[in-house]
Amino acid sequence: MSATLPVVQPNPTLLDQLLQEQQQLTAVEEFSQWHQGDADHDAPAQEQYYRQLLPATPPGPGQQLAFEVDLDACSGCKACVVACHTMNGLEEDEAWRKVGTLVIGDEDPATQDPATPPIDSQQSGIAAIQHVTTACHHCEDPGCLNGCPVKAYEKDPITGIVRHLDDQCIGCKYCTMMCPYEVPQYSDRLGIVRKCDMCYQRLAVGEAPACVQSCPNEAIKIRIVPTGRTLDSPELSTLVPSAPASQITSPTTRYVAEQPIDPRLARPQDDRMDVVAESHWPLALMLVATQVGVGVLVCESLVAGVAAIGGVAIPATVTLIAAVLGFAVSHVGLGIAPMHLGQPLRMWRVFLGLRTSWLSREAVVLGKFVGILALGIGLYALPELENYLDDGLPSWLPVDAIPSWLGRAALLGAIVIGLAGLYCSAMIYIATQRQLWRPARTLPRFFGTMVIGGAMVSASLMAFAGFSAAASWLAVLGVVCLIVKLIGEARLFGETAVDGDTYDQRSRNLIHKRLVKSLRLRNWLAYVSIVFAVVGAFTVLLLAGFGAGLLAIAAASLIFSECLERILYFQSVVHDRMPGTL
Amino acid sequence: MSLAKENDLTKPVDAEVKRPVRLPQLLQARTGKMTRQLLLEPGRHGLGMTHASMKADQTTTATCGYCATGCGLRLHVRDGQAVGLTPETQYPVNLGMACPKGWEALEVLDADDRATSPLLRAGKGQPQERVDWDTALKTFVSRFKAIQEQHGDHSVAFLSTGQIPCEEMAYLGALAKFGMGMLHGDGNTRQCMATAVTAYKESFGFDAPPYTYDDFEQSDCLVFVGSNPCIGHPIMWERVLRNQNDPEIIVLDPRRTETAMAATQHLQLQPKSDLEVLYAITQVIIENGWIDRDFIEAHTNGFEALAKHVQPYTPEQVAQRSGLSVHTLRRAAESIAHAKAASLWWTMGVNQSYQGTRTAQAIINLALITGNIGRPGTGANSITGQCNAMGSRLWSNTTNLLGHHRFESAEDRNRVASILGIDSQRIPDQPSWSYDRIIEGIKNDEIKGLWVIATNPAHSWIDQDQCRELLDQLDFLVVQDMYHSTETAVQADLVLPAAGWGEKEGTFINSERRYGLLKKVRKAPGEALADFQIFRAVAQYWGVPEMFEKWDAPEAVFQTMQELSAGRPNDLTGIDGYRQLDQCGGIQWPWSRDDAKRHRTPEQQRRLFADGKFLHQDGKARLIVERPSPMPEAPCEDYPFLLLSGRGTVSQWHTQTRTGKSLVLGKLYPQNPYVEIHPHDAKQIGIANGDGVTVISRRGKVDVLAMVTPTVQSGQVFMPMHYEVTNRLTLSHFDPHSRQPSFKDCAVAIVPRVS
Repeated sequence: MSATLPVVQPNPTLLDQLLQEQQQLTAVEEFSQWHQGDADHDAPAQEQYYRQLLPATPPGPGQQLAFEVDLDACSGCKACVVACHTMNGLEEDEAWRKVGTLVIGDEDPATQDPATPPIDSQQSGIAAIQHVTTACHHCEDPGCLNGCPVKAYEKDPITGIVRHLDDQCIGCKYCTMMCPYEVPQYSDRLGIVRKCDMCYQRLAVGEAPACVQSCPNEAIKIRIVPTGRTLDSPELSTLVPSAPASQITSPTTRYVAEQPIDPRLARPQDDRMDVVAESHWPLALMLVATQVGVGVLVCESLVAGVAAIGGVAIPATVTLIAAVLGFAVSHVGLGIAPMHLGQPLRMWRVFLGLRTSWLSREAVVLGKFVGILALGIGLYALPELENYLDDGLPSWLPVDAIPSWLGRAALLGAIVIGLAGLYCSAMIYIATQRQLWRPARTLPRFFGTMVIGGAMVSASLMAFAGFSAAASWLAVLGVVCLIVKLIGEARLFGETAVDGDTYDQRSRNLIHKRLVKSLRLRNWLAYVSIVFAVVGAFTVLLLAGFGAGLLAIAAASLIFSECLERILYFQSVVHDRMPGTL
Repeated sequence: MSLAKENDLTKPVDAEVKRPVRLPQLLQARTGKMTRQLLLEPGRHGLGMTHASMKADQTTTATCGYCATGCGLRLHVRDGQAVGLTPETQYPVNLGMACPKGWEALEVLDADDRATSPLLRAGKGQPQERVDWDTALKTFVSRFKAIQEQHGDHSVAFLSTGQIPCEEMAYLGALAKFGMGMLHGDGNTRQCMATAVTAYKESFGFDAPPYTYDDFEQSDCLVFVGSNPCIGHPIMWERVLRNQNDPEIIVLDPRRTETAMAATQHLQLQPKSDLEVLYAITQVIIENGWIDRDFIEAHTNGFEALAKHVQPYTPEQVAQRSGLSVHTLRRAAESIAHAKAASLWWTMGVNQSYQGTRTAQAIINLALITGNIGRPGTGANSITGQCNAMGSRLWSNTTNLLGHHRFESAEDRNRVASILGIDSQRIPDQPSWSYDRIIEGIKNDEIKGLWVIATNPAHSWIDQDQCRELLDQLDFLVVQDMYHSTETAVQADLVLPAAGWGEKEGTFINSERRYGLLKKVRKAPGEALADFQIFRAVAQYWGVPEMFEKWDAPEAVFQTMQELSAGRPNDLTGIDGYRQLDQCGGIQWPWSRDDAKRHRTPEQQRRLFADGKFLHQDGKARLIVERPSPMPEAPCEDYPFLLLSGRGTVSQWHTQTRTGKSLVLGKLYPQNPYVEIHPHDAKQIGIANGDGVTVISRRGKVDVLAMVTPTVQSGQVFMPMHYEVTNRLTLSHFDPHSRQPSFKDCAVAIVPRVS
């Protein structure tokens, strides 16, 4: 029937009409009036559902507000995540809440006889999935707040809510390391972190936080909890199985369930699924640079001291060059570091966190380090300058009043402060309480770089200055220390390595799965450095200029190698996390 | 506002608390541009504190366009356009809650891959190119007419959806069959609830899910068979948790799902032993005389045959095969029998099975013989999948003639023809082929042209590789969709850009028979048109505009639907237009003119069969049984695992054409396809959690990640259907009665993948 119909020339206006109709929005005219009826009624409609999920009064002294999550009620729908995202007007991919999953069950095949499939689950033991919704835990001792160098966090004295001051944040991301729960989220667009504030603005008018309002199963509540709890009992040692140790920050969220989860049977769904952490490359370069910088000063002073004991005086020019070199390297590092800041213009407030933040301390101490070093350089440079200028130095400069030892004193002062700065650098990472960044893992690496880098760089410097023996000894020192450092690393990261705890194993897996190229390059550059340094150490005694060149190559490849090592330090850091998903 | 001040939870009761000294703004910036970005203000309209981006000058409510729960979403409207949404507090379905998909319903409308103009492929192998609507529609008509001329009218077919409103389904069905002369058309609803339809029709005499969501709250024993509402229908689970009776919850599922965990009894049966398990439970109930004799006598047929049939299915017999203990089976039977109000619910675990119809009927039988129907908290209740699967059952004009009439009945054809004002000769006297038969028709060169509307067979159809090949064999494939990037749209010769949910009007019917309204609150992108408008244009270009003259707006079709429903079990003549639907929070069918006269407003929670009158001629329900059959592709030495498939997370919808567009939803599920495998099996194969594996069936081979979890049984593996790869493995087989694909049973092998 229809097949016999001709193709009809249509009414040309129909399509226009349809397209035009499509752009007309009718819902408001036709249907919204009825809803508009309660426009002036300000009480939130949802209140009827969430009223009993909030405390009746604000917390009193010795109390604070906290999330309480009923694990039995949570069915894993994750509406809380999207409601938080929507109702708080977050960015397209920003979420302050996260829901992970614990897989619970007996993993040991010995208890499961494969020949006979289990006769129903109730008899064969438990197997279960437990979704875990998590946001900021508004800790009693917040890592983010303690770490923040600019006081961009505050813990509200009444509610205990940990709030982030978005306009104060410099985007250093240190809080993302200090928070064991990965709560602060960095936004590339804004250049700052943001985080859950328990919907402070809603609580201030008696409304429930978005997640509380939106949970179909009423699994999230706000409760008043006493502060100053002790975390001695083992049940309190982590929020849920596999979570970070609660003693780090004393989180206040409570996860309640009729039957507690046996941590021996639970593992996160993303078990063994560690991801490569951020490289923080500006920080890696900064660390290596400042460490090498201080190392150069240390080595120069060492050589000068030994030489003085032997009755030889190192020319002031050599000292000056060493100081300038140390200064330049450190300064390059300190110059690169702010590149990782999202809001570098706000950086001047970095001293505000001195009382609690190692980052603040590092910034201030290393700042002083380059200051004093600059003074030392100035003092050493004065005579040179005098020779250089035709008219000599201006007469108002009390050149004669400056004692000759002051330059050396300034350099020694710079070394002491520099060492303190390096210690602060190390403490930045140690303070996160990540197992792989513990003192025994961090201090040898950081100060190792200082010694090795300092020795290698000053070896080539001494070689160029004609102090072949010193250069040779320094090169040997550098090589020996580097070999020790490499052996230590090989025992942890090497393909056949067996040392270490589960963190080391996870980190090793991660490196071999994802970062093996970096690891190989780091090692290869180190071997190049060793070969050149060894050959250079001998050659310099015979052919000073050529030897110096070899040592310079050794130093350069060492510095590259150490930068890679430091990037690996950041990228391969695995740590306890709240349960995630595959 | 005064109320709010009293409730301030951030100010101390006694104002004595000492605040630490605050640094000046210069040193510590407590306010500023960035802080203001997250500022909340009183939203009025009952919204509470609201972010500026969602500040509304009006609100209106629309039914969600994802699943059949049919939640009410409160749209925040500013200057006529929706700027955000929150779940509607007053809506009787969801009581102020929504799942993540609903929360993000507007977000996915702004995706970059929205189809904004028609796309035409000049010839096979050529790229798709933008064309204007005039060219697109002329090509549409000339190509389809040419095919019909050459191969007969019936060689062009359509595949529709459960995702568009009733009015559009009715228009499409009428246009395709009465206007364009097609005979065959089916919907993706074949994949989700055909089994429930067939089971209800045979048992009750009409496709009539009898329940209302209030039954979740009223029941004291809820039985979920092949159903995981925690993940599939989280807002229904919300209603279960609101049940104050401390109910017994019995879950039949081979996996230890979220719902199974929350159950008081989890019957972790072997896959496809469900029919036998239900017969065993029936056997125990009959043997112990725990039946409602009066009800059986008065309201059912076939009890003797049922009793005889289930006799051999003793718990002892069924225990071994099902992997359940005798005790477990008996206890479940006892709980169901002794409940004051037991309700039995099923979803895709039952529907997507080669013996699904009989399994669903075994559930219906249990409800009938224990008298658990027609009372609060009871029923044999199919939980439907898509937002308008229920609408498609009544209005798609595919298996049934519009409004659940019969194509085979001359009387029905005449009635429909007279209401539509068309010649009854234009109405075919036989129903459409089912989906699988249409696909087979392509293979047999019986179908040469196909019009696909709002569905994605190249991803979702069972044995996907074969389906894709067949789609490529078509002379002309038209895909009408919101997105030009769906797996099917990229295969199309012509893509017609469609407006989506929120950009058009119409009604959906949810799982509890509730008509809900959708609203036009967003402008469609580019030249995209509502499916309704596209059908109007096609009618015009095809040369049959006069046939649909009355249907100039969705509400006009709704009026026709009302006329068609008059005097029938699904009567909706009492509904006073869209406006009343909006005011009442949706209205459940039936709501006849008589009902409307008797009551001023429809009650919000109504269930069927309170009077024990079923819809067969004799007013009785039928108890239907059949011998279970073995699964066609059981695991063997070469393919040692049984692959189950299903919903993965709440945040993923079907083939992800919409949900895949939301970045925040993307954070809520694994980005890579994965297979769930028992720790014992993983160890045997030598894989660990997160490792890459290859899953191989007789039809395909796919690379996925291993998720090692004891929630699947040893010997079984599970893959979510949302990832494109899954259906490359599945075995094409069907329930013989409902023709629904049996997605959840095929044999696979798993080998580690070397990375």
